[in-house]
Amino acid sequence: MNKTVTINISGIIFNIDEEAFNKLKQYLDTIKSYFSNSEGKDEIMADIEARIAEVFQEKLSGKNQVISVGDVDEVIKLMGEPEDYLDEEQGEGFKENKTNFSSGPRPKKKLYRDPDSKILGGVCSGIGHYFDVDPIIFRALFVIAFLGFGTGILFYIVLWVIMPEAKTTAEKLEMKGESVTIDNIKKKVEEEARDLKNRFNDLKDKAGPSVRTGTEKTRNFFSSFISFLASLLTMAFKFAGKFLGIIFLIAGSIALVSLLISVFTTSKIVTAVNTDGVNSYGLSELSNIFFSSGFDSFLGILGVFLVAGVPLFFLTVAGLKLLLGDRIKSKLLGVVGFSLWILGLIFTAYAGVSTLSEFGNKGKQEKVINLETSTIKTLKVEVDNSKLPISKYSHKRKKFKKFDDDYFQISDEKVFLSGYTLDIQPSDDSTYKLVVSKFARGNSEKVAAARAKAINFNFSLIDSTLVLEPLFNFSVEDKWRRQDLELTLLVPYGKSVFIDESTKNVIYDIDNVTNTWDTDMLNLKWTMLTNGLTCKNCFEDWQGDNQE
Amino acid sequence: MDIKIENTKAQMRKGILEYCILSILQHGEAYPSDIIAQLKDAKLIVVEGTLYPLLTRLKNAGLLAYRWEESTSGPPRKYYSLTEIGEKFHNELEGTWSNLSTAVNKIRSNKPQQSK
Repeated sequence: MNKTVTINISGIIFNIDEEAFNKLKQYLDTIKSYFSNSEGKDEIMADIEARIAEVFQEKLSGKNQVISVGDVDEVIKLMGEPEDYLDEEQGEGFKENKTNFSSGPRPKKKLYRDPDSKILGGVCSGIGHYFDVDPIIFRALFVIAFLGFGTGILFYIVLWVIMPEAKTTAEKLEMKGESVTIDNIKKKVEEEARDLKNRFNDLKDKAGPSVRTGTEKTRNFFSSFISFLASLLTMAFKFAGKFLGIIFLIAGSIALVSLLISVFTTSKIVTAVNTDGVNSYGLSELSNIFFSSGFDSFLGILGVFLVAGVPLFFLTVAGLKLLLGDRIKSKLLGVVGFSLWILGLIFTAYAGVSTLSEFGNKGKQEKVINLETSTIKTLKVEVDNSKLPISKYSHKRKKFKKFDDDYFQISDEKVFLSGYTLDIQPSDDSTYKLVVSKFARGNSEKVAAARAKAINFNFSLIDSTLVLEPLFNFSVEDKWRRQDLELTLLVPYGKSVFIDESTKNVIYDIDNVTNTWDTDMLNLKWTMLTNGLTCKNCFEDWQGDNQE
Repeated sequence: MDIKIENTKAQMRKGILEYCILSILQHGEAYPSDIIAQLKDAKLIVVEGTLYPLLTRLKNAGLLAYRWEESTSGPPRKYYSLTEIGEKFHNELEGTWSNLSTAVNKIRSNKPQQSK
């Protein structure tokens, strides 16, 4: 039993034995390549094919309906070997060419992509042919370059675009550095035909009767062993590519989706601590208190979205490409993507610059408040950290660091911030005073001052204790314009101040005689003398001081 | 320099072949298989493949023309005939050939006398 192929020669349909088909195809391909340079090649081929069809037609009868190898052999015998065609035609010219080639210097190699042994684009196998080195080495280099520096993939893509693909037999020969001569073209065509045949044979049942000689068997074993190794490697690389593709796809799409969600919904992307515990804020809420107008805010968000989203989108597309092995037409996509990215950059820059102008001028508002403490000899200062339930945890974690607990909270259309400072200075009279200095920025000093004035800060005096709130606040409408707060407690000479441990996060660079560090001043009674704050009997219990 | 006998033979045949084809067609139009049969008969060519490029070349040079004719046993056939230029070409070649054959014969018959 034999498989047959249906072919069309010169408009007539024949059923032909598979083996006979391969032989005929190889024969015609060889002749064709012989004539590839001569004028009227198509006509000659058509004439030859017409003649072959005629001969076949004669051979077929009611009994015999399939062209066999024998028939093809007969046709070849009748028509002549491919070399014969040239003997009469332009053999001379060709032969001269041939001798020139073989006696001259080694033919120049050209860099082509090899479509026959490619994994992605055939770049590595092309380079391999060029340097006569196994392409696996270049493949490995590219993989390493990709894993190591990420530049490998870019470089590969550039080469993919630059290097032409070896399409014709002549180009394939140039790629391998063989001279483009009739013999070589023939060899190459035969090789390809044999390749095809081998592939067919592999598919065939190997248990069938075989009349192969010993050497053929060995050769077949080696070639199948090599092709097995090659296919194993190919599979490994394809798998690696797919694996990478999956990672790209997953990472890209997840990041993209979360970006979309954060921009177009009210989902929370920033987590901040407030009195209720942990709270989160969406991008739109945050941009509202930063950007000067709704338009700027919109532009800013859109800009950020594009700047971050476009690369993520391309990561996803790259993953898809690797996964599907499909050459998605990405030129237009690339141009559009890049333009969008640039646009995003411009949007962000515009919104940023227009908003930053509101940071240009400083404004300050200062208020001195007399504390009704005429009978007090030692004033205790504390911060009511009970309003920051999480703070206890934070204090434990970061015991001796200052300003590491930045609180941020939006509630009731107000922004609450921590991070104000407390200093202690001598008072110019006999009363304790609290100087509250508020700062803000604006596009003019006037606006900045008004914004500073709008900052709220609460404190209370309970008996001999000054209780400071841990946060100051301002209206969301005022926007965040570097609002800041500095407190200075003025202590009369001869009187003392007890610095409670709760002030740990607000006291800042308090001058004292012994140059004691802020954190070491905690839980001690400090007395204001003419030369500054002094630790005089500072370990004494201060509570007795004010009882009289 | 190595002169291969095959090469020389081919060169000798090449010019003669063109003349022979023209001669065959001078007797009337013919299709390639007819021409081949006659050439084979005269042992000028051995295989058919040789003829097709030659015919195409002669046709492109304007020496031959062809017409299509349906065939009962296969694809339509090209029937070749001489054009006017072909006719002139043939006549000139005929003159050259008779000169050449006379010359060759003369040299060949002279040769043994000289060597004696």
